[in-house]
Amino acid sequence: MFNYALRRIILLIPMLLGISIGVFLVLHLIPGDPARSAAGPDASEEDVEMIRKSYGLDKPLPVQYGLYLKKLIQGDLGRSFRTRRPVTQEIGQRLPATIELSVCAMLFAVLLGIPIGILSSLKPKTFLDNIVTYFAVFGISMPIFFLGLVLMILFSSVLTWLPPTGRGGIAHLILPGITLGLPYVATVARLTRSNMLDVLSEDYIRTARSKGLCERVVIYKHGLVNALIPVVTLLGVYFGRMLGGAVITETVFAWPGLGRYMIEAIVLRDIYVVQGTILVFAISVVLVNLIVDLLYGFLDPRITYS
Amino acid sequence: MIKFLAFLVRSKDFSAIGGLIVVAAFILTAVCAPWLASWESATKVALQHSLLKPSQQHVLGTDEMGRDLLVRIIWGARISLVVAILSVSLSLVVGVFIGALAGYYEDKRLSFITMRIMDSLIAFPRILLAIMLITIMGTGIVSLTTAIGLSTIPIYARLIRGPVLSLKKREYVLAAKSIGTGDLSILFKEILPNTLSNIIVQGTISIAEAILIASGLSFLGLGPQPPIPEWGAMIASSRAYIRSAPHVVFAPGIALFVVILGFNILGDGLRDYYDPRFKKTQRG
Repeated sequence: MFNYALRRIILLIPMLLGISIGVFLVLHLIPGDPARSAAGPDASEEDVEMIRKSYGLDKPLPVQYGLYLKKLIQGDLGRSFRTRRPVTQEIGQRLPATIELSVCAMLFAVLLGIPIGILSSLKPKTFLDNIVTYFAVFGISMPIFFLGLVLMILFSSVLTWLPPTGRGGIAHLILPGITLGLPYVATVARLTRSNMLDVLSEDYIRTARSKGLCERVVIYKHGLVNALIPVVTLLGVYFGRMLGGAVITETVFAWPGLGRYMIEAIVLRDIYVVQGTILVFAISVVLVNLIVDLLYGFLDPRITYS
Repeated sequence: MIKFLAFLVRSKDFSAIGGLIVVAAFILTAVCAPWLASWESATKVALQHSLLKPSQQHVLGTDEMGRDLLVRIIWGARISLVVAILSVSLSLVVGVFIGALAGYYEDKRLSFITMRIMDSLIAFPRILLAIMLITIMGTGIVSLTTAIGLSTIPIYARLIRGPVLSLKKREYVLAAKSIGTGDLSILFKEILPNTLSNIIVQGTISIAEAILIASGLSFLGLGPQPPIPEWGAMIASSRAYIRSAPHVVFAPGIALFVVILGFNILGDGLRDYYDPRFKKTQRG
């Protein structure tokens, strides 16, 4: 287990290098001259040249990548063309909002999805079970921005229970959190259900029942704990997808997070911000996957890694 | 096709029949759009008719620019279908090619490295990959299609590699090899035709996903630009009027939901058709 963890962490290094090369290349594949867009439309030729030199844009590509990597390790992602502030600082301000939103959506999906999954596995082929199957298909078919707008008009325009946009207390978090999490409720429920059904037909469950344990202990202590292990691994994948969905949800609800910031930067061609936000998203996905993989080994000691 | 319909009727899978009808209606609308309404009536601004409620003249009402919503939705169907079909074809051709080669030559170092890259790309949310590609290529229908297509390649590579790995050890393949058939001929004539059912099922679901992602990217302003009537872009430009005239958002939104749902349900039906065991194990 320790060796496996160590190897996974060492494997992070080529992954992160790959990501940094990919993100670095984004800047150089974008059509147009970054020095000119940094200087602004009214700048003279000399000004553009000066900026080109000061950003190191006149050097060959591998040298530029080296410089980029060196700055990256120091936590320097360049400055926003628009606000002239360091990108690291701007990202630092917005990242907590995105994490808050994704964690809330994940909690919503898990806290609702797992109990529903357990219930429908205990009574397969009933009304609840069928509903879950339909909702799972609805969930993957519903465009998240449309869902958000429908919830917004229902809960803040018609019922006036919740604020429509912005970030503040818990009340502001509810609508965007539900929008981002709702499509996953049924998916988590179905996954829990099918794992529960698999586990409950195992020999050790029959043994537990035959030695006279009460049904509640059998289901929760012997069944559920084992059924949830595969669910945990998929939660990592869902978390990555939620980060993608967060970009849209943040735009719908004017949520001041990283996703909306990235879209604004793409529209305005604020290249260092685009680079920085893509980098942070990519690293988050990699880290979440690593944590989930390690957790998987920890939860299921039967798994050996050769 | 007729066999599949007979299977759906026999197994009383009415939701899949519904999905098939929705998909057929969607494709018919998209193909016939130029005969149903002119492109000009879908894009021309007529502010004196803006935000009209549904009536006999405008069955779904008009948007904030006074354009008939039904006409825009009909043309939007055409755009969605073109983007979905082309992007899925791109990812399918490239992805199947990569997956097939990586599966057939599994011992080669290049196959190993390629599949590792594909596996790492699958971990990333596809919409983020597509956003990154659009940043490079700029906005518009062509780059939207390419971005969705390229970001879906890893899914097909992984989908095909597994079956190829097991099929290449089958006796009929070994027999073909022993009579001196070339590698590529075995791969494309003997092995790949047997993965067709996987490709059809995944292809149907991919079209649903492509329409979903395309509408999301267009909603963010990264797809076709106004006045092109893409459904997601229509919702984005009309959302400011959602309180006074909800139909401007609900009409394209419901169209999106129904079409994507249709493709997903049809995909499920096709999976049951090709692999009846799946239904038993997954659906209890």
